[in-house]
Amino acid sequence: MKNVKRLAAMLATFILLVGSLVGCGTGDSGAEAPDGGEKAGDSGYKIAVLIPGSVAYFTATQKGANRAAEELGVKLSYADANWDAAKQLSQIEDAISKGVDMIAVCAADAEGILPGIEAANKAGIPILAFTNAVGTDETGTIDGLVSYVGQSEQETGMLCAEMAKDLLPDGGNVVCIEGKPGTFPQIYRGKGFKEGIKGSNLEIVYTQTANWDKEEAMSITEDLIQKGTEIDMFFCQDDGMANGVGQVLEEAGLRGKIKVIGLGGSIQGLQALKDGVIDGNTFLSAEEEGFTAIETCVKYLKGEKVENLTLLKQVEVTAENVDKFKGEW
Amino acid sequence: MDKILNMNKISKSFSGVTVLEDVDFTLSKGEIRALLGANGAGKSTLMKILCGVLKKTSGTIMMNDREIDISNPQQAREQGIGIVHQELSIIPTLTVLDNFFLGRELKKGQMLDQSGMREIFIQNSQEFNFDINPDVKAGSLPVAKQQMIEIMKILSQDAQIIIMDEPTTSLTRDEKKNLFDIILRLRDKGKTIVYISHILEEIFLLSNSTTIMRNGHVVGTFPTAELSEKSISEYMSGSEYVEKKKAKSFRDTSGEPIMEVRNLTRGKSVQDVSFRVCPGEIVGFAGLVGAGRSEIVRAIYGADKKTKGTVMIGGKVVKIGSPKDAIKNGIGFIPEDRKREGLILKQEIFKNASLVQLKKLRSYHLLNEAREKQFTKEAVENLSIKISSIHDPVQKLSGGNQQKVVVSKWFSDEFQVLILDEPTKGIDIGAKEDIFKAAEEFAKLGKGVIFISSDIDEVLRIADKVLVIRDGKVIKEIENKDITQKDIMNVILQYSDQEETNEEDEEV
Amino acid sequence: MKKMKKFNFRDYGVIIGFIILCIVISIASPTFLTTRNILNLLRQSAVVGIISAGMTLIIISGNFDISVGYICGCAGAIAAILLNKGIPFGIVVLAVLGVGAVIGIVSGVSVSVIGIPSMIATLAMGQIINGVLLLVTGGYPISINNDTMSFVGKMSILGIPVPIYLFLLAIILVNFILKRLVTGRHIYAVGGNDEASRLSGVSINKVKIIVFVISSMLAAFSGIVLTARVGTATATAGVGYELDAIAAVVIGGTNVAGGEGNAWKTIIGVLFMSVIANSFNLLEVHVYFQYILKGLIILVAVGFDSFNRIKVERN
Repeated sequence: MKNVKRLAAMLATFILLVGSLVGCGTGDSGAEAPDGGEKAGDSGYKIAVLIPGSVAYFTATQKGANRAAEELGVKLSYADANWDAAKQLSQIEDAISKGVDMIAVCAADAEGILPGIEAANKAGIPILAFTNAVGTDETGTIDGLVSYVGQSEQETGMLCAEMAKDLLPDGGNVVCIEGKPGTFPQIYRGKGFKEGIKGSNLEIVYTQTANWDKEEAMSITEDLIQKGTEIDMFFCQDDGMANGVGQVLEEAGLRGKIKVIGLGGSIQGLQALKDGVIDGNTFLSAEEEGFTAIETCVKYLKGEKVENLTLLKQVEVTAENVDKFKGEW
Repeated sequence: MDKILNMNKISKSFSGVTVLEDVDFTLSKGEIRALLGANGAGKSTLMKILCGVLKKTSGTIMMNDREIDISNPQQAREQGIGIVHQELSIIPTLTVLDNFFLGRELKKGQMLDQSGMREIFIQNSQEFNFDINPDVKAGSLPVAKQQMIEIMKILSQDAQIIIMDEPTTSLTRDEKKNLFDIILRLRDKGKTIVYISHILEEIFLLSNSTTIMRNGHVVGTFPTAELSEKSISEYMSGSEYVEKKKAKSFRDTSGEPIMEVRNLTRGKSVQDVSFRVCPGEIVGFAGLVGAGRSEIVRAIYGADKKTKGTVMIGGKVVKIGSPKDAIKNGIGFIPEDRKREGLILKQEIFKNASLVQLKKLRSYHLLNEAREKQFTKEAVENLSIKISSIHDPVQKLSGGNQQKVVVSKWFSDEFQVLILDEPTKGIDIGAKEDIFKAAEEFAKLGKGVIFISSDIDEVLRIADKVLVIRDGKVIKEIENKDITQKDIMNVILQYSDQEETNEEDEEV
Repeated sequence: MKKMKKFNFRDYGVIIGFIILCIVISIASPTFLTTRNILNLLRQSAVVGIISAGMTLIIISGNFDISVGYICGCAGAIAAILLNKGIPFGIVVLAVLGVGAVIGIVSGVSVSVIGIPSMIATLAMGQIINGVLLLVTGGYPISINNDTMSFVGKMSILGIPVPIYLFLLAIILVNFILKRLVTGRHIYAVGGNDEASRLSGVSINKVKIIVFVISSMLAAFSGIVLTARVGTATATAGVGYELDAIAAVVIGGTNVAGGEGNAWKTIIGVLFMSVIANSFNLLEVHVYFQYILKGLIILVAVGFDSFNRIKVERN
């Protein structure tokens, strides 16, 4: 009897909680619940959008995606994998069970996503990747994927190389601060940068990962300054880390001597550029990315032709034109 | 004499099981009432109702001719009823003063009023002549002093009725004397005392009258002066009293001793102990609480590590580093604290009984519950264990039956020697007899038995020879022929007198 | 006959509750009771299920092991590395189990002989394993291209995915140990009262070490299954699974204080958790609420038992 009561209490908790949550809407992480499905009823497609983890970037992406859903009359459902490849795989399997028309996934792991793509193909559900490239090809496209919507990390790296060359026309020593090892952006931004500086007088003297983390980037910079290495520029694979590097250099009084560039165009990063904490940045609208991802899905579902690569480009941002850009995340 | 307490037709049931039925219990102011009864007779339940831990199912309670309601311990305290439990509720890490005021600390505004509390403490200790330092950690004091703190606490809450539950279990002789003095002083101050105990000597010493309970009923309340050991035993068990004496001996001194211990030493607690046990012999260890008897047998059994000495079984030296080794060499051990050391309370009876024999009760290397249950059923019969089902958790049983389960673990031919450490502590007369019988059965089968008891009469009843132990040493080995309790006590006292004389000589 | 009835009723309570849960969800979401979804659900429970089987032993013995998540991830990475070197699958499995056994011995000795509380010892072990793993992999994920692994992760026998068979195997193994071997009875004894067990001749150190070895080996094995499913070994795989395993054992009704419980209860606990996770996906509830709910359910499940125990003791 005791065990039955116990289970009853557990069930009551479960039902209450889930009931109230389901009643509140489709459960996306705080953004407005789209009425798209009920209002426009245009195409009535159901698209599952799978996010790898809760990072501000994806809040912006979702904004754009929701806007597209409203305009195009499709219904979106969201899931967050909390950076666990296995969880994302489960979420794909469950989306298939639910019978969605299409899946748009931002991979938690570039290779860990492959079984999921296989599963979607097997079930005949079209799948598209956005923001995070998948697989091992540098373009981020693979067979079985309707399209990859996002930037070419390699091109982004090369863009940064150009920025570096502009800032240091006579060349110099560059330290590369990278993102999480093994992630697609880490590999290909680095590659692109290296390619881009070939033939110039820029030389990479040290590479270290800060795992996309500002604090880690700051620690690394402090240690490097202690060592007294000859550095002319820091290239960071995102502007959060760049911001951290810049701050450390300012406090050490070395800002004038060492250039810092980052990429991405976050709110803090653009502000850092404005304040002179860093020297160069790039911008890519996450909202546009989200919008384009859904737009591409709908195009495909309607039977239109879709390229296997839907590229968005990072744009260079300098201290001069920084006011033209508005950070989204 | 005024009736300070009148419990009238008290009944108590737990989910349909009646444990008290129509109990009348009255107290006159200023008397010391002994409360006697076998385990399960209902005396603890009755007292728990009186002090608010349990709620009565029916009946009335009147104090000073006014009906009162006691639904929780707080209300009992307010009515002036206090209890000193067998297991003290002292917090060892707090100081004496903290313990004394626990739950009713004095405050000055929002902060503790240390000086105010200290003053009251000193007042109280002076009034009742208790000599305790308020600032030491309670855990560092001997049990006797901790008990005093509890008594003081109750008195400071204006208790008029003080219930004491088996208060002398962990006290030394001197501490007992001190406690008795305190009790008499309390009576002189007009307090009424209920004294629960198994030890008849104390009851005869202290009480004016005695209430005897059996099976949830009060058999009667008698002036203590009119009672004898014989009549008490009859009232408690409902059967005729038979004078118990060491009957037959099964000792066989002809051949090798079945066990020999030489120069056993463990730090300071066991010092150079040597003795022999013959097949069929029951060796009694007599001594006061804290004499080191448990330490000796635990060192033999491997429960504690010995620093020196050898143990021989059947003439061969055996290496014993753990209980597992001891069992392998045929030594069995029934520990002093059955709940903590002898049983796995939440497990079924049959699983407890079979634990030592598991390997032998297997078939093809797999557990065989049918065999375990068969083993248990045989033990239940042999020892007359009162159970409803061998699937019940062993904690459901009364103390005596639990102890029998512990004994049953060692029912196997492979054991040559069995050690029983205080096997009759806290169990009723009927169960005690069964334990004695069991020990004698082991001896009959030619095994050696070591029997430890703080009740010298028990030792004399069952042992072939008695080892008197003090401070971890064997001070004398005596054959159990025409000796009495006094004789043993004298040996112990002689020894301590001798010690004192030695010390005095040294000082000079 | 009467004894049998009493026994089953208590266990039925857990199953009845689980069935009610399933009914509620299938009403809320029509896709729940489809074959596809149920198979998904079972397949998704396999990894945590295998770990939970081992955790059942640990908890019955009166201990905790919070390193199993790390062991799972680490084992997967080791398997990936070895397979990529061309070592045959069978040997890789043995090697991985061997690593699990070694980890179990270290944990077991720390807890039994040295006497470190299991919570702390396994906390530390987890960190060590995590660190070693990161060093060995450099933080890089390792992809695998191996037919046997694909079979294990993605194939089905008789329509049922392979991982489910492996989960069942783990449960059967644990149940066998607990119910049919002397060691199993000793595990219950040690968990129930280790001092009384010691005095009855049980080698409590040996028992504790065995428990940790089996649990760690199962956790290592689960790492192979996880990696087979995902196709890649990442440095962060398996993190958090130890809490899921403990939750599964506890929700299933095994007492956290030790000394009682069994493997079948754990299955119900595992399925309970999986059904909740699955329902969240089907009902589109944000994954973060799962954490809140998991925590609440554990509080309620264990709280209920604890509260009842206190009530009984105080009466």
